[in-house]
Amino acid sequence: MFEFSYTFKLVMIATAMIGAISGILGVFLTLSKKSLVSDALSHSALPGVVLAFIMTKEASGLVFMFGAFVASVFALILIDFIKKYSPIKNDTSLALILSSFFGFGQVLLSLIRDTAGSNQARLNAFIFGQAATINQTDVFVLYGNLFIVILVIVVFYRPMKLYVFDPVFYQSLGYQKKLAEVLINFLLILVVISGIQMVGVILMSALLIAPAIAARLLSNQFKNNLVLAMMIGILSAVIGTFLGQRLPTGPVIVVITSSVALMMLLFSKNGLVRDIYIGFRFKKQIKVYLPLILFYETNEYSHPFVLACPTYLKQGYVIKRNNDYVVSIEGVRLIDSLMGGIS
Amino acid sequence: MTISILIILILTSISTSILGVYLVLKKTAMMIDSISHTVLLGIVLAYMLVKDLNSPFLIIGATLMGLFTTYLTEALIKSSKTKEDAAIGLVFPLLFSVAIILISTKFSGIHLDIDAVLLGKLELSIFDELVINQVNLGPRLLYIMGVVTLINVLFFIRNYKSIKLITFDELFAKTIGIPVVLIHYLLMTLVSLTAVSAFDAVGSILVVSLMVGPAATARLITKEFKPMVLVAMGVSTFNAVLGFMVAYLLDINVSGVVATITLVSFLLVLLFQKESGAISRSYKEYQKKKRFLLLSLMLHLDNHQDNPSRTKLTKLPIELNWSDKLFLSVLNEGIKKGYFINQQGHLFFLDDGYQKYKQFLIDLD
Repeated sequence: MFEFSYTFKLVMIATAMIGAISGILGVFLTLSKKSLVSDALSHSALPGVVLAFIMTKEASGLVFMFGAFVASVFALILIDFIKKYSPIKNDTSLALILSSFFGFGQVLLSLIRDTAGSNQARLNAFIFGQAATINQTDVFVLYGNLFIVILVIVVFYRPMKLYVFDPVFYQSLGYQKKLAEVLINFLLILVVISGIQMVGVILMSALLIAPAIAARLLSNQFKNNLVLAMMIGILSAVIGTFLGQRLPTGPVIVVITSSVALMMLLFSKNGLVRDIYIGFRFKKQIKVYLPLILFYETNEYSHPFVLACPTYLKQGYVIKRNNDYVVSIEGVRLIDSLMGGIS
Repeated sequence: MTISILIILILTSISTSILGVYLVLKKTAMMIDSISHTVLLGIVLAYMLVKDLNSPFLIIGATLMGLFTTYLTEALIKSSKTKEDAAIGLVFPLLFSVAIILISTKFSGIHLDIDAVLLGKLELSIFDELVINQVNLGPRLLYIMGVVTLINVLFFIRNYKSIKLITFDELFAKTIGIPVVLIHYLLMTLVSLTAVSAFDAVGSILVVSLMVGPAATARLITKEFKPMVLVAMGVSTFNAVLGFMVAYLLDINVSGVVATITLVSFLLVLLFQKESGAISRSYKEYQKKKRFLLLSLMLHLDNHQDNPSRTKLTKLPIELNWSDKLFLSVLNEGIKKGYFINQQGHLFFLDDGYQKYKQFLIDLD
């Protein structure tokens, strides 16, 4: 029933790999509050891609990747430079860099608009991604990138994890401050430049962010987070490619991963729906047991308490002792938990 | 006709840069990146309803979508399930992707070109003319941007004090009874409205640059609110005019050039600013470092004046834990300025040097 063409298989493998590495790296990014850096870097890659094409006159994935790499590194250096020497906040510099680099990419594109010919389409594909343009070499390069990313993460697992959770503690253990930062940035650039050809510069950041958000809501364990994010990345990439035969692949993949993340936000065990339900139940309980709490605190028989007393007696929160009513141990426990708030 | 392109560009720059100051000061600059993408979905959805690309409902739909984006993102942040940046990064790609999928499936035939949305079609905008009663009134975009600029400027003047307070101390603004949430959302409405209107002219990515760039440059130049707004408007106008001229001469994409120039002008200010620019700052740091090294040497000499074995020239680098090269450069500097003297391999203060040393110590206090 399922007879897939050779190209389709290639695209499937490629998107799955990108889903995997962006899922893994996304966990590091979101935890270190760097998620939007990926957006800035992917936009900044555009002028690099076009410049690489202008210089080499060659429209191959490897050349594009190299150009994107150089431009992303340059953008990152600029962002760091602005951070160091100005009072400008980080998000402002990200927005400025991403839009200006993208604009510069547009300028370069318009410069070669008459000479690029058929390659123009391949360059334009970078903006929205064009999974179908992938070929055997690109897939080999992707294998290489995947290998590097996993290797670096395995070798430097401990410093990277520490840095992501607590940079100060990380430094206090004697690690070089720059080490984890440079590693994460390097991997980020690697993932971004591998991904933009498939999903485009605009949507690349979603592949990194969404699986990580979903995974974060499913588990509090870092390792589980990595595995979960990777699985979500791969699954949405595969499903997206499958559906993407008639629709634009990149956006479909993004819609799927983002929907998964939104679902988790709403319905996971740490999700919003459960929060709202617990809050609601808590409010109701407070309403019911308020007379009991007041009685316990003041030891006075208020009118509401007298009214509610038979129910409390039946539930065992109040017991009768020498013609007096006393709050039972269960009652004290209940009051403690109610006064403690929602944990 | 080119003059009307320039006027459109200047109007766009002014209307965006005013709002940019608010966004930059509120640290929500990436919000505009998000909004400028999601308004596309608003346009698409509104188009599905009215089936007319020139209908004003498209602008309304897009503005509403921008508001929705803001609300959704802020709700996610408030729920503390995601970090602020992750919330932005989750919402806008989703809405933007939906828009692209809708465009590619539902109306592949119509003239809703994604390239034009992203990059704008300023050069073509003048051909879309406003005709009322068969009188040609010039480019439609000119009027749209004129109205938007007017609204933005008036709103800013009308609520100047509140906006200023909100950007600097939101809590204080709330306590003295300023409707913070209302004004914030009104401003975000204006941001969306401006983004949509500027969309046609310059494209969604340049809107980001136009909003954030001049405001960031102004932030470098001044710390006060009013000058910041004025400088931002001035810088953006300058960028627009310069960008337009360059693009016109080289015959390239106008909005891209303006975006590039926005970054370049920001970086130039950052580098060459007199007091707090990067160059003067690193020069000052260098001077400070040099002075401190000299002071360390002086301190050492002063503490060990009566112990000749520790002021021996050959031993000093080890005593101070400096490399020979560093020591030599500091020493030469000191000798050249007449602070020290080298007597039989030992280093001694000269009067000048000792006075300078005392001065340093006073300065340190």
